[in-house]
Amino acid sequence: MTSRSAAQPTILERVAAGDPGAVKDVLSRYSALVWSLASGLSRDPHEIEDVVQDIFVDVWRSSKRYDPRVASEATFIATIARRRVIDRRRRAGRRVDPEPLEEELAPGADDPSLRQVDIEDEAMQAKEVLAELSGDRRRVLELSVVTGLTHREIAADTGIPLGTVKSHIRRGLVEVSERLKARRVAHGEDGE
Amino acid sequence: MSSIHGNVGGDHRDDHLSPDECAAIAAVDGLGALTAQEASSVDEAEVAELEAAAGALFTAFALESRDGDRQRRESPPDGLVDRLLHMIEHHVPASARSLEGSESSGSSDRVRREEPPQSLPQAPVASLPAASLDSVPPRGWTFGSVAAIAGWAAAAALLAGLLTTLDRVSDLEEGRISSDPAVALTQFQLSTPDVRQLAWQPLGDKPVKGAVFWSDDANDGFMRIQGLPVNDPSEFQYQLWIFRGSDPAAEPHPVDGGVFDVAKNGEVIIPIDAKLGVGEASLFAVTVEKPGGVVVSGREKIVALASRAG
Repeated sequence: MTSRSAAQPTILERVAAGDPGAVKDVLSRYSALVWSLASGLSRDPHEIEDVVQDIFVDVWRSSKRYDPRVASEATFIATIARRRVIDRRRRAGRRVDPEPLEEELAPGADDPSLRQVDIEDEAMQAKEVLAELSGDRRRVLELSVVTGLTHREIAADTGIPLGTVKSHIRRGLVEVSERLKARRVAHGEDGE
Repeated sequence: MSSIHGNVGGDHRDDHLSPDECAAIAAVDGLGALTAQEASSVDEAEVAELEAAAGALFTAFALESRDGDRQRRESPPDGLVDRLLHMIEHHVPASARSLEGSESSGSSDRVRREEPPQSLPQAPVASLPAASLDSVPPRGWTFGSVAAIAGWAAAAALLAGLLTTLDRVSDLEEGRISSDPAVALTQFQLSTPDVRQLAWQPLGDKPVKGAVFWSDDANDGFMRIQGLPVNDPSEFQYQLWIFRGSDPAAEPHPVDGGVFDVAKNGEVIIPIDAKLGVGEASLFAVTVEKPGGVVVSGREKIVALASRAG
């Protein structure tokens, strides 16, 4: 996440304002991120590109809703991407189980296509939070946020009681939210 | 392993949900996964923050997953940015690139979740994209037999359908919409605020995939459909029917949505050619008919179905 002054609108704010140059800027800056987020959906590059296009269409249309006090641009776009990817999975009746985490890897850090996007900071922060979560909570969050399963489906899959599933999701999201918020405040990026 | 198909919010709710639980569900699945009463109980700012957390987690998990899978360790294909840029700059009206946005978020979404019968309040996530997960295909619905046959719609409805067709022809001629179906669909979604997306629901052993994109206001739409066998137009053609009600058995006179062919395997995008004004479309059905289509379908062979009823 990048600090900014009030005199420097974010790319999404420029998109919302109708700045023609912002279109290319947002594509150049975030296409690698969006591609990465969408590529878990399929091995078919055409299908991935299709959903990438859908995501950017949503980005254009949602740009005026962006509030830097709530999230970085990258997270805002990831939020849109998550919905579109899960939409696709649900429509296709497709389930993709994410591969187990390989802790020794440093995701994103050695990828030039992602380095151009200032997302490592926040992604790494979210990963740090993940690493501190219990195994069950992490798995439940993964099945909910990434795979798109319902609470009942998660309970059936994992054998975790339904009430505990709900609790894991709620508390896990709150934990991540609070940590990210604290980081934004610490970096003076809360938009105030 | 359970399937996620067709499940959004329904399975969450077999007991009373606290406002905290509702906020978490809204953050993950959108407000449409809640009842109106539940949705009214959530704190908007809290949902926005939890939704941002879900987005950040999605990024973290995606990067982890990709790094654990060397086959997926690839950058966007060459030319992706240029193709997207071309699509946006040459096919999307500037005014649509930053369409409204905001305050009326729930209803202005490009893809709008089909709401339960209750009227939901405005999406509370003012600072994040409004809830927009797709509709849940209905389960267990069967296409009943219809015996009654009667006359077609009134002249006003005919005129509405005709005007829609003429508008499309005019737009094509003047270059306002693309002859590329995929681009035209994107343009349609961007320029039509009330467009709804209705997923094809499973039918038979080889269900089709995709969705109907329909605007009641524009009386126009598109089908994205994958899984229909390639047809020889001299032997049979596909025909779309648009129903106003949720029970086709009680509606003998659906609107003819046009005859179409499937010339290739894989996904095809078909513009809907509604011959009449539909009003509020509730169900779309594709039948197999003789070449040229029919005025009234016997509905003997229904190959695709999409409904807004949940």
